[in-house]
Amino acid sequence: MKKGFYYIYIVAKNTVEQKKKVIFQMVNHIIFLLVSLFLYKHVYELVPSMKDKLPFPNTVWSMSVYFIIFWLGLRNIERNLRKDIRTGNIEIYLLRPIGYIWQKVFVQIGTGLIAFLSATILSVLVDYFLVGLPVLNSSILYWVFCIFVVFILSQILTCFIFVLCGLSAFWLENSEPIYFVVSKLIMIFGGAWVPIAFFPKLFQLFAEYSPFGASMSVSFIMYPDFAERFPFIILNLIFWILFSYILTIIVSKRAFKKLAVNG
Amino acid sequence: MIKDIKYFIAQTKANFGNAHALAGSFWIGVFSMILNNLAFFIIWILFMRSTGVINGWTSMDVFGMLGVAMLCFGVCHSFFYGLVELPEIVMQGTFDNVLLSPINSFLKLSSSYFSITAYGDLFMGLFVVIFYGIYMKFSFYIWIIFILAILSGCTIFICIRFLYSLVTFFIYDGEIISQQLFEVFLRPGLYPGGIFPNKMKIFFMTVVPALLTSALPIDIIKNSSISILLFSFLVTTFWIFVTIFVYKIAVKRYESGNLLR
Repeated sequence: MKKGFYYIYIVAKNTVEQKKKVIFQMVNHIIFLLVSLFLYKHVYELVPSMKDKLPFPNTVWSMSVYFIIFWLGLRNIERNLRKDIRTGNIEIYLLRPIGYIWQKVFVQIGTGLIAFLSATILSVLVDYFLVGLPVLNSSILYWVFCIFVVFILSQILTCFIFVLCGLSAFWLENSEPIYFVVSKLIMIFGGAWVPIAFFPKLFQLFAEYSPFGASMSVSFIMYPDFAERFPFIILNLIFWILFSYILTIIVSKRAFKKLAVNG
Repeated sequence: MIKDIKYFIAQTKANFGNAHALAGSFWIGVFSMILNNLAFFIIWILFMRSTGVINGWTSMDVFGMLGVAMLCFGVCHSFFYGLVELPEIVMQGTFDNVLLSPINSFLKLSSSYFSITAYGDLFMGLFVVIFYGIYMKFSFYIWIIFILAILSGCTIFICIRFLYSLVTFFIYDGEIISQQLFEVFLRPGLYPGGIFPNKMKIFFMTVVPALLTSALPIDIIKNSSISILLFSFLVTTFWIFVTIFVYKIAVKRYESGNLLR
């Protein structure tokens, strides 16, 4: 555990050098956030009944959270695994004292950490000053606690999902299509461009139960009735984490048996 | 000039041939991009179902708009992918190859690379746009206006993509900046045109001309408006001149990396 945190710290420290990159990422983030905010404000003015589905501040917070997590870039784990497997560089990492998959996860967390923290601070400030806090049926402290717990669990699930996508490169010539499909399913069911509250009921149910929606369930914590949803979200996340953990162990064992080091 | 265009066509044909030589990989790439694009159709069509008609925009209009956006993206990235790779070419110092070639440098650069997945955008965009036209029962006159509006959109897309790549000549590490700037341009074009307030619409038709590559062609045919089409041409012409002007300055700033091949 300590080794892992140190790994993340070292990688994050290296990314601090790329100030220009982070600055432009944040410019991109803020512009997109503001564009979405003003567009949805206009939509709420044109269609007042939208308020019944989800209040305006909740919509903005829900989408913000999605794009904050986007900067952590855990989806890139798949690309990094695929690249290593295709180029044969995987053997370099296998010689290190930390497990290969753990290395890839730590490196990705470290790489995206600064952008993620910057996006979090900026988004909270922009959302708070422009639309205020979301409409909540419970206390703010409990809401913050729920965000923290769901964020940690949902990102563990995201890691497992993209590790599994990446490991498929051991069998497929090009695993990119799998990545495309999974990342877009997460985009749809995670409420990236449109919160799922605006979708038909059946679709919402599927989003909440599926691993794709679960991996972005922080956005559901932005809904007014989050306190009622919270126990279900946690149970759902634990189920999918256990399921994907077992699957990752099975798949990785088989995958590493297939590995042929090219020397 | 005709020689240059002939070279560009021959190079594009060769690129397509190369891509198609690995038939399996080519079709997987194309199909995965089609799947990727489907997500936007699902999201926005469900959204439009939830809100109903907004400012005269129906689900079908959003469908057509996404088709136009994909077509513009597909044209730029299928036939002019070298522009996307320009930051890397400059960083590696291999831009000499382009400058020393007896072919127009823009055409030489554009056709030097290609993207397999972009053909997915191109095919899907083309299919959606044709389907939209048939479904909306376009007259011959509307078809002409629509094609001209799309051509204008494609031209501006290429100009903006090129301009953002030229950042590399002025700023070190321009590759990352170029990509982030491009995303700022791309994203507004993926929102339904009907949800833009007027002032914002004007901003995204001129300063960041994203709507010209997606929503504006739909607005033009919905209003059968020649004046909007002329406005679109005017903005496109302005951006063409800006691109040429910046390119000339950028090339003067280039320092060879002595990596002639």
